[in-house]
Amino acid sequence: MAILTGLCSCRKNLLDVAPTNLLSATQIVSNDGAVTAWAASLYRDLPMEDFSFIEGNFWRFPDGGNQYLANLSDEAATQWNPGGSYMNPATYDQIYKAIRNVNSFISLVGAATANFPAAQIAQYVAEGKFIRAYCYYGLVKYYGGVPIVLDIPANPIPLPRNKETDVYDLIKTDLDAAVAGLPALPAGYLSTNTIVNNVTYGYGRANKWVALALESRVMLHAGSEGLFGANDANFTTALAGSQAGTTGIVGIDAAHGNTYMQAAFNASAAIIASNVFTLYNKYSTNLPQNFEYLFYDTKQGDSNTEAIFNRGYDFATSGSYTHSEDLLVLPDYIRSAVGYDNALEASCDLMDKFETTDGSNPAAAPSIGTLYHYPSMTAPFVGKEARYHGTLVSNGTFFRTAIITSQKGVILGGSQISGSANVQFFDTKVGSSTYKQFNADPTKFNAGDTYVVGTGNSNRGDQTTWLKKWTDPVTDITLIRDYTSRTSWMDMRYGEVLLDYAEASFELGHAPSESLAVINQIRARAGLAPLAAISRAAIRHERLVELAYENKTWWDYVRWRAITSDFTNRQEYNMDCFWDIDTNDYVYVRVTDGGARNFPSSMYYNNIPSSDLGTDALLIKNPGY
Amino acid sequence: MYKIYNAFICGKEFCSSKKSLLIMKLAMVLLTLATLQVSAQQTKTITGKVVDEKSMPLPGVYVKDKDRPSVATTTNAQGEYRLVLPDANATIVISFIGYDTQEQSARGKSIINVSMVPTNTGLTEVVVVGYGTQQRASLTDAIGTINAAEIKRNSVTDLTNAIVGRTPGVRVTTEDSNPGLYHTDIDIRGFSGAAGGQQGPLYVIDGIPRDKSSFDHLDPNEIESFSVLKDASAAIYGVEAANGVILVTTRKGEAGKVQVNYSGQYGEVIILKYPDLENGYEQESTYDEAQFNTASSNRSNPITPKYTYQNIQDYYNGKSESTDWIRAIINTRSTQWQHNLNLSGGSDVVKFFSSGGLIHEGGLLSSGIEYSDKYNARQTVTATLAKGLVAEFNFSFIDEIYNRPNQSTGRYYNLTRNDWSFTPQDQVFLFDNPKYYGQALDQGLDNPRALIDPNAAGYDHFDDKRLYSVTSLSWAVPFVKGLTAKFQIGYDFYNSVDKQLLHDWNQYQWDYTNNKYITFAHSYPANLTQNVTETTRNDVQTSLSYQKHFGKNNISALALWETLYQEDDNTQASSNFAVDAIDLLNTGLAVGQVAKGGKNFSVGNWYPSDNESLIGRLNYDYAGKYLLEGGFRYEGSSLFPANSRWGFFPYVSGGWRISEEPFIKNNLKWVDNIKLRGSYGRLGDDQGAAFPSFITGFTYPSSNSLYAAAAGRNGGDQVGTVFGPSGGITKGVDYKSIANPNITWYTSITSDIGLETSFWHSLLTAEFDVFNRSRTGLLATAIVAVPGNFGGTLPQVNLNSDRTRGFEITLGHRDVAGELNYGISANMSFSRSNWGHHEETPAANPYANWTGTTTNRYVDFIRGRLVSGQYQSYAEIYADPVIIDGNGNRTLLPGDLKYVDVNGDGKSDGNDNVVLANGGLKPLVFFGTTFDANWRGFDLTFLIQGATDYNVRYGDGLSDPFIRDPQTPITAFVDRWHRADLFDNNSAWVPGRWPSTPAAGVGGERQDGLDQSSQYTVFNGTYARIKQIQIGYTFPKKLLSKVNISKLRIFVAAYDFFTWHAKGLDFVDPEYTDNNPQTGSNYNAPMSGNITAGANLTF
Repeated sequence: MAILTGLCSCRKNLLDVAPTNLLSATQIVSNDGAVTAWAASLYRDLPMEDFSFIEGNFWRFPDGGNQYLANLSDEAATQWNPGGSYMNPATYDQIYKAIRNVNSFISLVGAATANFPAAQIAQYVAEGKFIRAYCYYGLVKYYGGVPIVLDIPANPIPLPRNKETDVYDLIKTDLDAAVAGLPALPAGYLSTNTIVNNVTYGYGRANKWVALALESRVMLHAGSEGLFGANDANFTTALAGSQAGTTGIVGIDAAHGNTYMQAAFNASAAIIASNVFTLYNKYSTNLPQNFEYLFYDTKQGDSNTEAIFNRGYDFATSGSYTHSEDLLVLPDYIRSAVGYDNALEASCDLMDKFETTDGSNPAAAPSIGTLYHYPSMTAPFVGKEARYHGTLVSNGTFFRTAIITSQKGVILGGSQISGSANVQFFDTKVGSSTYKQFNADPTKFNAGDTYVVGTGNSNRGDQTTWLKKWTDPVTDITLIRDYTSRTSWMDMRYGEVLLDYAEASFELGHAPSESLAVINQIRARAGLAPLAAISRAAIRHERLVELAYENKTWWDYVRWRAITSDFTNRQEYNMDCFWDIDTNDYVYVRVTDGGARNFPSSMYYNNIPSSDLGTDALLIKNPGY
Repeated sequence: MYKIYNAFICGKEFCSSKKSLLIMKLAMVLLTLATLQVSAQQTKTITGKVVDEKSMPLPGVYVKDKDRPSVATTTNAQGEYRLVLPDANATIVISFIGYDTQEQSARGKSIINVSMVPTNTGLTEVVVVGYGTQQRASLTDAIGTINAAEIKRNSVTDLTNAIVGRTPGVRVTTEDSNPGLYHTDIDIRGFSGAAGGQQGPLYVIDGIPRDKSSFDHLDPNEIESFSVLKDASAAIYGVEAANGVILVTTRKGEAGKVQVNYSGQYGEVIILKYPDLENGYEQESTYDEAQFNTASSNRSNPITPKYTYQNIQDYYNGKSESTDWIRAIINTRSTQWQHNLNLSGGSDVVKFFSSGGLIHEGGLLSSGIEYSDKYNARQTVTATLAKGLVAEFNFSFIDEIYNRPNQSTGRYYNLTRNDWSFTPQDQVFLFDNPKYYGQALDQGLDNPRALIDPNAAGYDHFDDKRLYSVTSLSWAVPFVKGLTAKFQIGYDFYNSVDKQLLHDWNQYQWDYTNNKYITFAHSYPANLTQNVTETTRNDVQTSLSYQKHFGKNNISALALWETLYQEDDNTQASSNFAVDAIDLLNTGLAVGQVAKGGKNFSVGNWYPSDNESLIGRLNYDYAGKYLLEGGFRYEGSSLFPANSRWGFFPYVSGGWRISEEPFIKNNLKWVDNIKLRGSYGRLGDDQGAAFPSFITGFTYPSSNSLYAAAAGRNGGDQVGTVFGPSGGITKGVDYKSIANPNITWYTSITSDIGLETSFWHSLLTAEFDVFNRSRTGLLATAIVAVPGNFGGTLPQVNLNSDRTRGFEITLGHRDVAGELNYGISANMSFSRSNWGHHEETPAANPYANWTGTTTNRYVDFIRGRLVSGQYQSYAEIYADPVIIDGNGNRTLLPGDLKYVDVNGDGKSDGNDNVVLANGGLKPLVFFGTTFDANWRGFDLTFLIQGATDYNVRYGDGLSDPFIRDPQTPITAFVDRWHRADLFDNNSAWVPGRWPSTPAAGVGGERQDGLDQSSQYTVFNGTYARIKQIQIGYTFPKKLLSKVNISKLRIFVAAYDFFTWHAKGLDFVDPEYTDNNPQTGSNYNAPMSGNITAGANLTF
């Protein structure tokens, strides 16, 4: 009977079942906790080109790992040749969803005057504008001018594209508002909480400096487009021949370019003047380690004087709010057996950019196909500057727990005999172990015969460098699997701001001493001699070396309007290592990795996705599509 | 007996004691048989006359001495017989086709006149219908039934497999045979949730809507009746009933002496056809060949093959040992056993039925990690509390434990894929030492043998406990004759604990230089995840029913109010381990502990569901001749907003029993029944509604970024953002789509016309039905005309439509020939669905419209290329004017497929695809034939079941020998085009079934030869199986009565005993699908049949 009574106990409004996890529009702005949760999603949905930006998708697992921006530019030897659009078409709509969300944030939080004091609301709104600017910067650099939506449309209606300069102007307006409305946090804000008007600022959240750093980056991009647009004849022809080009929907004129460049200078100068940041120099006695740890000391709680804005990952509390960078790039020996093809090996082009500390800077294997003999595996890499060794692991060097070795095969009587992917022919001393001389005929290799697998061997079997930047030097190697990497993405750092400043200063024609001063700061941290004279080439060179693998290089080529000139029949190379049985030394050979690439001028912008052209008749295509 | 009963329902330890009891009883029976003596008797002559139900003489009636079958005679034209009995006290048996067999004792009689009673042709059978019962004769709806005894006579462990092929329109496909998982797909007449979807019928067990899992777990010994509502009459069940309803009632106690039944069986599980892998010789030659083939195809320089001549010879000569990776992880046999003990009895006041059972089923994985144990008990008590006041309690409990490898993705997916990716050169264990799992030479995959080792990759252990209860009180209202009031509560509770343990483990290679093991760690941190799910279901029904007869008019009516409430609660916790010897959560590391949970967390719904309904029905018949039924359900669902929540779903059906008309009844005596019936109704369905699409808001906590990859994997678990110097993630919110305030039921209009006939007292029965179901308002998201810059997600709207049509035929024959009593029944069904409107991206051009759109098309057909044969020589390739590879046919090799240039443009490519065949979802035609016979004490039952009008295409390793590198091809690919001497490019080509093997991962038209959809790679999936066969022997009562056993039957049975398949599909079982819903791939677990022996015993 008790059961009966229990079962019959009446429930009111039986059919009005509410979901237990849904917050209403009122609840979402009722207190700081709810607004912070909302903000957490907005930051998560920033179009940030981090470890999970692959094949034009955000928050994507690397899969083949060969469609990063480093594969698109000339940083990695493995090439990505999309030939046109490289953004996933779905991304266009997705960024607009992020924009709708932040517009709704600005509007709802802005109206929550009953719940928060005006000062607090102003901060929230400023933060929303920073997020919106970040989203529009994604759209404008991928697609050029796009429709500007600042409200929350109730019904889907077609909108025309705005001019590219309209979008940059909007971004600048939003960022200026963010700079004005967000608090100027003190030095060390990433490792402590700072409460301003009831809102907790710190790691992972925008403040005045973050807004300024973004403004410096965006304005430098827009300014360069304006100043260098005319340099690329292919591109100016394409613009002149397209509706999008003639109406200013893509392309920026020099006058606007100058204004934006000045804005970039002002923003970077403001950060420098604040004295809140300095270049990371924690391991000043070991400069390669210093540069390596600059990208590791970025987690919650780490004090890093150079970091401005980080995206943190977390394994401890969620188990999988992580990425898979280590699995993707580390040598086989330093990760679990289930790995990837290590498609971020550096190209010879990038390796050669790094200077030697003595200034001689010879290429390790300058001509393709020629056998270059070296007394040791490491010989070609000795003498490279600190950033080289902080960015890359080179063949034959000690990394983490072992000497990393990879050898494609042996040379016998002048001909190359390659091992298979995982079974390589080794014939040398590696570290302290001496492996047995491989004397038999290498063409008659049989299962069960003696062989050794190189510690750096990857599924490709022909690596000679591995990416070190961004990897986790601490976590036990047996734990490196998919979804276990938790190094943070340093999205904005002082080093980049200095380089922005130097470039803007130079392009605005300021005194050379202004740019030289900051370039030499960067070089000093890398252990290199200061430059005596400044040039556009020197500034750009410094930038490509310092920011390699930070997903900046591709955009540099884009804004310098250099892709059609730099990628005409452009062949990238990497190196293979052999042991020469006859001469008893190592041989490095420059080899091609993929065919030559030609980038059309249409690649300055992506195609407006065809589904959007279909659903919005007012949209027009980009040049070349 | 009480003790046994008690032990049975209470303990799992009962197994051994029950077994010994069974053996003892059997021994007693045998002893008795051995000591029987035949005593001397005197003879006696018996005469008599046999008449039918109208007192007309019946000639040809068979009369025999019951115990001496050779003493027999038949009646003459006047219905008279004369029989000399050797024993004056013998019993005679009088039997005739179409009439019930009678027995009469000759003791003290010399004349025995018999009046025969026509056999019940099923017309008076009581059939369970929605919220009630009805006599078969007066049914006006298409309702299929399966005799409970038939269901009982099977040797499978789940109920769905036991009903295969027994009634038309109940279409079952088996997906695999993992013990305890019940991977079957069932639908009624091809009705599924969305065309092509997997949602099946509604299961109503003892009047309470339950789920497939509850149905699968039912013990067949506890089933009283089984009906299937196939047409509009399902409308009475409203929600989710649009796909048909399966109604099961469990047994109740019967008044009288307590009857104790035991049945048990023990048997072997046997693997069905499963692809084998090539041995070392075959694999190495195929691999080298593939390299050579690709080189000649590409006109590239000669390459060094991976395996040398000597390597291959060593395998050929037996010097090298091949590893058989299939046998390394899969056994061909396993065991299963089941026992059930039940008691029934009581008085007119209190009746009870008690039952307990257990089933063990072993899996085929060689480590023994897979098994299931199911324990079930049921107690039903019916008590008459006062005159007309009856209370009934029906409680049942099921505990199912099953264990399987810890493979989070698709169960067998990793396992099978890795198994195929290891090669015969790789070792399962190094030097056969089970401590050292072999690491493959050329890759880092997990060793499949380690994946099934509970001490290596761990295990996944489930313990599901389910309590089902129905309590009711009915009252025959004394002052209104025929009026009954009833109140019923169903309360179910499930608790499921799923424990997944992942260990650290290593794999090894041997370093021949330094004579030591090279260790490869295969581990996450060791991890334990425990999922606890609690589900409750609460169903309350209050009803009034009324029956009245006046003259030839019969009326019955029902009114019922039903409320159904369901909710899930789920908790998931996981922890990493430093020491994983103890598999308990609290021994985990402090770091990396995760706990999640909430209402319906596991299914991602976060809300309970509630339905309220008013149900009404009226039946009227005039003289049992003109039948009319009408009913409705007015239902509200919590999935919809208040303004569109309520739906009205009416149906009508009518029947005309032509055989009751005087012109037939009086003239055609051989007609038992001819009935024409039809039904029409409107049903509703709320399945697939994404609650709450009518309100907008922010889902907290968030589950995913808005960039969550539409295709491919996401880059992590994107729940929020890391804020602040410590404390990890701040959880974010998800943005709900724009609200659709008008979302509502989708409706389905179902119609059915049927003809039922029976002649010569069931000598011939036939039933025919045609049906149509049209649905509108299926939920879909509008995808046209929403500019991306709108930035929102549109909600589901009632947009799509589809239609399913088909027919069913059942033919039956039942006869008695002497002592042989047999019956045969054959059924088949045809059903096919097509989309009406199907919301999709508009095609860019007419060709894309032809190849890509689905609106107004059948939901299941396969496109591909026509093939006119295989090239026999290079000369034939060069002479072919049609370019197949887009490369001047220069890449083609002898043996490659000659694709037909359908559009005549001189090349064969994707534009030459045509519709090749029906297929992709389920066979269009299902059929089954049951046969049963009794002869003296022997009985035989068998069932042939099959399906046709279905084609299947395989992907992955079943269509591409080297889909990955390394890979071991399946043995089917041995029969291929190849050069006589693999190392000699100039040697002659040897023809084979398959084109020559391409190398791994090589693109191009030539290499598509096997995985391109074409006439050559689309197989006819027709099959017929001897699904079930059972032979039993019932011992004579006379023998058993001496040991107080009232019935003993022993039997042997087999399931999936033999399979016929169409030509060509000889490497896998024909039910092996190309896209198994359990794995989403071709990596299916094997299917199995079984052979068992057992006994039924009644005291």
